[in-house]
Amino acid sequence: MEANNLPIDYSQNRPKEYIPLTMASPGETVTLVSINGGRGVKMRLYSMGLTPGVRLKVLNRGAPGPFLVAVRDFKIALGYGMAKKIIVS
Amino acid sequence: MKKKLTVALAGNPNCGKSCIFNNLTGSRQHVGNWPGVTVEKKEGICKYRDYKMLVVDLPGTYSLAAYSIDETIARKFVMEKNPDVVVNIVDASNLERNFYLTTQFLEMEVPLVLCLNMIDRAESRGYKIDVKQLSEFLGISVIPTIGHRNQGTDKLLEEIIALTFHKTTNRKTTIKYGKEVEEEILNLEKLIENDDQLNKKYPSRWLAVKLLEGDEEIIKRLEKY
Repeated sequence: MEANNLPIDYSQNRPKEYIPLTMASPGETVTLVSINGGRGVKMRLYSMGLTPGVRLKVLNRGAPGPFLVAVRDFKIALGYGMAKKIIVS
Repeated sequence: MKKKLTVALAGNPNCGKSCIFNNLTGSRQHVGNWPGVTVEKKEGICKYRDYKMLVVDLPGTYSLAAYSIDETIARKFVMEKNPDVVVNIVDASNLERNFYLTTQFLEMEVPLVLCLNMIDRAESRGYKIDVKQLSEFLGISVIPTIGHRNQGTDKLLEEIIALTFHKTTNRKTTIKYGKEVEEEILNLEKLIENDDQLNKKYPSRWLAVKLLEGDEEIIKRLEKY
């Protein structure tokens, strides 16, 4: 319950290691580590610029709705399923 | 009797490809604002001066790998139908991502013109693009356009014609992949050049890079060699 209008900080209970993008907090900037998927998903995300080492800023935590993320010089909307496959730290 | 040529339009989804297509062919097309709106091949005719162009609007793709049907369609068309010119339309306000596709076309060594679209959007974002330097750097002509205002269309047409009929010197730009990879590319290139059939069909450097990438379609095609 967000009684005090504070966004939930998901970082408190998670290890400082690799997490799926879906576990990142709104406004947080993370680094892409890997894509947890097959060749198709990997190639799709890589060719759009989401490559290992790139910095992602979570603009809008989807669930429900798409995850809006700022990467390089543009923004991209990712479905929850896709976002879950992106491993960041 | 008009001179005929085939022009392919390629670029990322949402780069304004359909708009440029409309400007060239005058047909009414639906311009959507979600990615992947162009899934089917759209064709139209453009009559300009004493030229008649068949303009093919390829599906919007981020790259020319062989992992989605859109990419396969786009790549096959360019490789097999050999259009006279490929116009790579890029969103000027989003160059980094758009250029990935450009590098793929450069490696394929096809006759290429860069259409720098949406320059109004780039300017409103504060970007200033040195078109001349960009053109020198890439080794191809760069034509700035504002598709939704039909600006730059004539210059684009002139460049398409120049490239097809007047064989302007197209300098080959290569992207270097680092010492180890370059060594492997050279090794593969030597093998490719020894085989006469392969040598004529595809640029050897492009084949070498695709093989190293593990491109499934290329590997399948070359299994007999």
